[in-house]
Amino acid sequence: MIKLVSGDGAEFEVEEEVAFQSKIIKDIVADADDVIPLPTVSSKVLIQVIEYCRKHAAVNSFPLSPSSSAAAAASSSSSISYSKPVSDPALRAWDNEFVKLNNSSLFDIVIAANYLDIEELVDLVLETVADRIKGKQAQEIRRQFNIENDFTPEEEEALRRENSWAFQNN
Amino acid sequence: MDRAFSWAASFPDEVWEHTFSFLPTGADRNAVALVCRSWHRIERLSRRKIFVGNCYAVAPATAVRRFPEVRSATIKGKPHFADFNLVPADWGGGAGTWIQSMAEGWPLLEELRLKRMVVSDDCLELVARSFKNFRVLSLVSCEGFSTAGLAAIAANCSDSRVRQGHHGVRHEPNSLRPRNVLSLRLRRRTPGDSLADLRARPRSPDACRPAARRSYGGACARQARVRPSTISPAPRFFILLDAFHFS
Repeated sequence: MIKLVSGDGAEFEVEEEVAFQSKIIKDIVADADDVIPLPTVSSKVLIQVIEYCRKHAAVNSFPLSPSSSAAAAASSSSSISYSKPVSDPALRAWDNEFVKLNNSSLFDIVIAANYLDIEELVDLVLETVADRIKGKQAQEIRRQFNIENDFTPEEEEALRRENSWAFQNN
Repeated sequence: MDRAFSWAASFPDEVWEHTFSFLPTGADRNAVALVCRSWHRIERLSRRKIFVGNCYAVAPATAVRRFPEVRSATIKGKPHFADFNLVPADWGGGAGTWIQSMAEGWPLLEELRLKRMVVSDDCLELVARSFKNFRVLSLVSCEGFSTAGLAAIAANCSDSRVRQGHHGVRHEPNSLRPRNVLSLRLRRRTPGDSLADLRARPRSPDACRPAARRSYGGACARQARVRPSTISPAPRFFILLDAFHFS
């Protein structure tokens, strides 16, 4: 077991394969009984990240999880198949539920995932953020992420005109 | 809300850049660029693909300066009704200044798609020697070049083959009726061969009808594909030519 210590001092014991979803932890762990301090990660965020890692470690370390084997059997006749995060519909669905969080929580998670180097989690969260940008106008995006417009009205107008004339997509 | 703001503002550039990589459409990227100064900077430095619907809407140098990391560019020249000889011959639509700017600012350009533009042999020669990772050239309804320009492109892609052609029916999203175009693929067996080895081959019986576009001022449509030899099954490089006027 590896012990992770959050910034606010809470301790979490996790199995190696769960902790090793983080490439950074995998690289720095020398001993099986290591204690890893994570000063920039709060316990609230660490709980969520561990939840994600536990799920993905379980799916990745076994050929097929019980819930996904039925789906895989239905879609493929191949006898040997290893589930992958992208191709496993059950895990995909789980991921989609996992990211049903407000922006602020997503940001906390992606900062932690980036720090811990959990690539799949970074991708998952940022794709979710991108989905919340898609199809929106600049003003809506600013409101959604509470971003201040620091363009002067003239600059914004010039940019808007350049965008509409020159770089529109059809 | 204040916390969300502090996160959004304190996010490292790389994280936003990574987020924007999940936004492929120009409309979304344009919206992102309008949000604030830092997003504008991150977006412009990470845009790999641009589409310019009218080659005169923006100065080429401005476009290249704003998006220095572009790998794929689509530029359109004359308006659609040029296909029906409704645009004066001296309308313009020259690709020269665009290609000049691209050669200076986008050494890593991989894909260039031009539509209804005047592309000289000099332009093609400049394309041939300017972009070291160049893979795709598409000229649709373009004019002003000859086999010499195409040969320059083909010669620059070593060990290339240009494949045989076919007639095809293409559906344009903007037009209500399907448009018949004649496509030819060019075949070249060795790098030294000339492009004169041109043959047409029908792909399907339905697609064999004479191209309707031929009645419009003799425009004819061709498609050329240059491929490396059998070493790699994936095409390393290809040229698409469609409805161009050979000069």
